[in-house]
Amino acid sequence: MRVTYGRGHKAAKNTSGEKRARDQRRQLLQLVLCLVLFLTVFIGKGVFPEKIARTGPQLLAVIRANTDFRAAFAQLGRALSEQESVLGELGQFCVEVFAPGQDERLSAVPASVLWGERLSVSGDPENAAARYLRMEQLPESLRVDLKPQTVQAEPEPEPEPEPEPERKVGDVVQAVSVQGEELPENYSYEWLWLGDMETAEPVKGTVTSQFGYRDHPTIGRYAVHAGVDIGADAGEAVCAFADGTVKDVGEDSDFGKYLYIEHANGVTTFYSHCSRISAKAGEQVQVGQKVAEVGSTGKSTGPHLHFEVRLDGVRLDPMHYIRPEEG
Amino acid sequence: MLRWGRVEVTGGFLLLLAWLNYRDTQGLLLPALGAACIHELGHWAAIRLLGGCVDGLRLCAAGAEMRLSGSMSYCRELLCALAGPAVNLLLALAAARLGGERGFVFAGMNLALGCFNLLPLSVLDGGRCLVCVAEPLLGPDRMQQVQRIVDRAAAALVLVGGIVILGAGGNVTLLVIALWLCCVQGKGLLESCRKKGLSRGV
Repeated sequence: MRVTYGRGHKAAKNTSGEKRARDQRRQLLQLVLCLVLFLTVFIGKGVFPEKIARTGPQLLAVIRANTDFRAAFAQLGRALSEQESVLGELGQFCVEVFAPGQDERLSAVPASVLWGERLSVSGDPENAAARYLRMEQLPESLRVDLKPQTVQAEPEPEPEPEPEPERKVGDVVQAVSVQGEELPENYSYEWLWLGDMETAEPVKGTVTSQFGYRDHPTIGRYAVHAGVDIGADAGEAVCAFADGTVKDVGEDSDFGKYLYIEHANGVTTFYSHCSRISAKAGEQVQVGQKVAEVGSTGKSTGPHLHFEVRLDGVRLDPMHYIRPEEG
Repeated sequence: MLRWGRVEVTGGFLLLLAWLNYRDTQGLLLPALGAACIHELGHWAAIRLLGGCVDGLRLCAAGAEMRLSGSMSYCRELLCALAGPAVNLLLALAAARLGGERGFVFAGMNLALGCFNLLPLSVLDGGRCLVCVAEPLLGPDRMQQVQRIVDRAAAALVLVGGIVILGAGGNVTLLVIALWLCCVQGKGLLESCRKKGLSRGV
């Protein structure tokens, strides 16, 4: 029996009757809400399947905003084991979870990198925004559809040693518009000018997976691919894309054995799934120098090199800068 | 609503769980659920050890709620409230010792959960501890006022922070926490109003 508040039997009956009516109303409302949700998804999937398939990841991107919760948790746990200042690490954890991309930490790439959702690395936000030119601001004539492997030419080397004033690092060489889902922050299909530097193919082979959205081969879902996969024989030499410094060498369950090389002008390249890394962290490397060997470590279905190019943390389509299938 | 012995599970809880499971691509749901279960188990064990009796456990979209029958002394209630976060912190230490990628994730999660629950808000364990410590000194009425002020200030602060972070290009995590706080506190306020209204009607 519920509380009666001393009004006698009749009053108590009334209150319980009212309560029941209220409960029923609430349950009816919940039922209607569930029905509406169900119908939205059901009809949506039937009528505009593509649109619905696209909203999922978009919604998720808004919710997550490039936060790698797993990495944040792992880092917190690691701090605990290393007996660092846990309070400071908790503050850092809050920054990472609530406001990703606000802190610049290119050097601290966690070992627990996950597919396409690694620690967001953002440079100066204003600069990045300026570089990350949007389609809408470009004239119609400049827009081209991305056709894989139809990059006509490499950026021509400048005749003068110093770059011409009209083309600076980060300027758009060729704007690219791609139908379908918009890329997350810090990804760009555009061909941006990386500055005047001599470059080499990281490895010769067949491109097996392009930059951008694709069905991921091992996790089996539609996910963004942060670089290109170049299939080659295991043990084949992986060469440095340009002169630079080996920033980080590591190994994890996703990318296997990997390394980062930092080049001039804020350009970074990433090489993963290697069978062996021959370069050491901190080592100076020359363009074309062997730094690793092709392998199939980490989440991989066969020997290949996963190669990424970034300009100030923005992941670019490497196919603008390399031609692994020629020669 | 489902009822199973003394455990109540609301539809909202199942809906949230299903959605999280569907959307959880990083495999975080299982460790998070594990940490939450261990947290509640910590409370439960402490209550049983200290002679209390758990009347029921309610799992709803806003979290887990334990109902106690009878009253406990301040000291015992304090220990019970601290038991959940304490178990989390111990487990975090153990998991971090164990190492490994999963160990670190689990450790971080436990640490975050334990610390979050120690915030001095009335709906969290920290708030209960605050009541147990300060109520004997301030008296129930003053304590209620203090608690209300702390709750509202915290909710307002988190809400403002969440909006600022969202505006600055962050994500909605903090805003969700703020909305959750407002929701839970609003519900509590509504219940206390209803109780007051009824008692006035007598």
